[in-house]
Amino acid sequence: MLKVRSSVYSMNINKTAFLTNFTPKHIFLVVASLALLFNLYSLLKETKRMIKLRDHIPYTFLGDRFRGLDKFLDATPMIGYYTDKNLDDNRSARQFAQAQLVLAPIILDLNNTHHEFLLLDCTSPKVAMQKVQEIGAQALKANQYGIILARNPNASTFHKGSTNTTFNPNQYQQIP
Amino acid sequence: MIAVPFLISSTIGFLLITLLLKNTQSLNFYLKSILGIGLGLGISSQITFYSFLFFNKLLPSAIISAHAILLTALIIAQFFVGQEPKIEFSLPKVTWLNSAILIFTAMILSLVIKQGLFYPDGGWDAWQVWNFKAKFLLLAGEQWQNLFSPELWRSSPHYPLLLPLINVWGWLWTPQPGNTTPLITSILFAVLTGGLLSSALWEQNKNIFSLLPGLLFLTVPLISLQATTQYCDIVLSFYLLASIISLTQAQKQQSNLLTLLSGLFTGFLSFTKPEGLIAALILNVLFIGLTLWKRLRQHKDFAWSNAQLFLLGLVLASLPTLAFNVLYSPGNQTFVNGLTSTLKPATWERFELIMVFLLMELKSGKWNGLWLLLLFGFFIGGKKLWNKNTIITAGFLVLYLGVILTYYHINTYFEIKWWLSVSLYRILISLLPLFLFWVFGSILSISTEKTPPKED
Repeated sequence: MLKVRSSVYSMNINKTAFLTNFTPKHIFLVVASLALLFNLYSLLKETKRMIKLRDHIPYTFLGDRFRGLDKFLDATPMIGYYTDKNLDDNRSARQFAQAQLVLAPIILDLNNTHHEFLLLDCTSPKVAMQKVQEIGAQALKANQYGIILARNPNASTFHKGSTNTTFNPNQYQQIP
Repeated sequence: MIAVPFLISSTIGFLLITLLLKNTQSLNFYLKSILGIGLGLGISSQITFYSFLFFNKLLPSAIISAHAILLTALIIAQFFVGQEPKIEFSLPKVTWLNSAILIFTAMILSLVIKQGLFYPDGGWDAWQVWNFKAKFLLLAGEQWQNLFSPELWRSSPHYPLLLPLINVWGWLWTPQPGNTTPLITSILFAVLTGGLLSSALWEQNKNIFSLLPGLLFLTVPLISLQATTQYCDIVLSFYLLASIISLTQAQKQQSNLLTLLSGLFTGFLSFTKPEGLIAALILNVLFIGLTLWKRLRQHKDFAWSNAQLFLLGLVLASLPTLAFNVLYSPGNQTFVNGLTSTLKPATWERFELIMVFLLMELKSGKWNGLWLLLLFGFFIGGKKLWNKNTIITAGFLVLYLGVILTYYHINTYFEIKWWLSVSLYRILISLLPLFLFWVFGSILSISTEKTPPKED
């Protein structure tokens, strides 16, 4: 049979020895213990700061703006992702990275408009629609965040995609 | 269900370690458990990788069956191999001091978990690299090799897959690939790394102050946040520490099987990140060098069988790394050799900047003075830091830092200030547990007992 044996050990410090033989080793351990208390204080402070911050600015995941889009792109391995935003800007780059995570395993080919399907994430819907017209594409879906899904009939790469899937009207609206 | 894969992996690892160390001097329960969990998760990751290698897609039934077979075999083996199976663990005596320490540790762990919960989807590399790869591998079917497309250069297609595959294994047990599994993995590795550090020092010194470095590591806000935001650096840190601790214990206990364990951890290390592969190669070179040296001087038989088992473990656990690099990895697409490039040469100014940046980083307030504490420890530790028990740790740290700094200098693809600002602190975090192990281990081993005067 499997034996489980437990024993009890003591973790007491020999106080007398600690005080009488006070060596550089002990100085180091005391300093390290003080450092631990300081660390704990700063971690508590940071935690309080974050809790306060979350009360004012709730956690947001920019990738949520792209949820549900994959339903319209079932078997498409790669689509274009067009943006006129500056990707050196932290927020725009974060949005692109999170979009890629949410839509995986669909690959987002940044600023390549030669794919059959295109996601447009522009500074305004007007700019996005101008781009759609410029490349001769057709806007299929848009959501409240201004993300537009378009189909480019002149694309050089075609994939077996689906645009007939039923979609959640609360999340996405048909372009008029 | 979300905890099931972690429990299966942990049990496999624990049973395997128990089996390996059955007839040798054992490790303390905490150290053995922590090493076991890391071992189990590494094995699960590799089993998942073999599904892609053999079936060219994720085959959940094959992965779950392989785990079930392994688990059953290990349970049966406990009864048939060697002595009667037994699990020994020690509980602290109930005293005010011990209770206070327990409450203190629990409080710290809850704060660490809280840091992870502030960012449930993790940090930048979690979205762009690790969780993205995991989700891709889970959902892409037979198209999984699209993960190595050049369009995905931002996700570093040449990075190995140990962490994503652990999360894929976890997601096999959940209806959706949500953010909880990567969060659990991340927090688990953070806590395991701190625990491994402390339990290994306890094993060496049986000193209550062994707890200090593990807690010090986890309580620096920068580290606790970084370690719990689903990056791979903490995973690298854990396997690096596990590899060296197993090797140190193997030397101390003259145990061949602990050397095998060290080889396995080194193999897992090579599958974490490209830095992990470099670290594994350095460890390998150091170990072979040390073995040859020992063979020339002493312990001839032990050193030779030791080397064989280390290499066996290393080869077994490095097969996925080898297969990944030979068959799938598109290679590093973000490399310019500054030594030969005329457009982006590696200049002396670049080297100076790297060294200045490193010094500024080490004395930065964000570390809460931890590097200064280690510097103080260097002065206290003195010769104890450079003896035969610490030679591998010391040698590794010197060589590894040298290689990393040289790489920063030679690869001129990135603008150096930006590159250092986003990556150097993470490399330092992944090395910090090893630095703490080295310095605290040396200091705690200093004997403080006064030598009685000689009687004539």
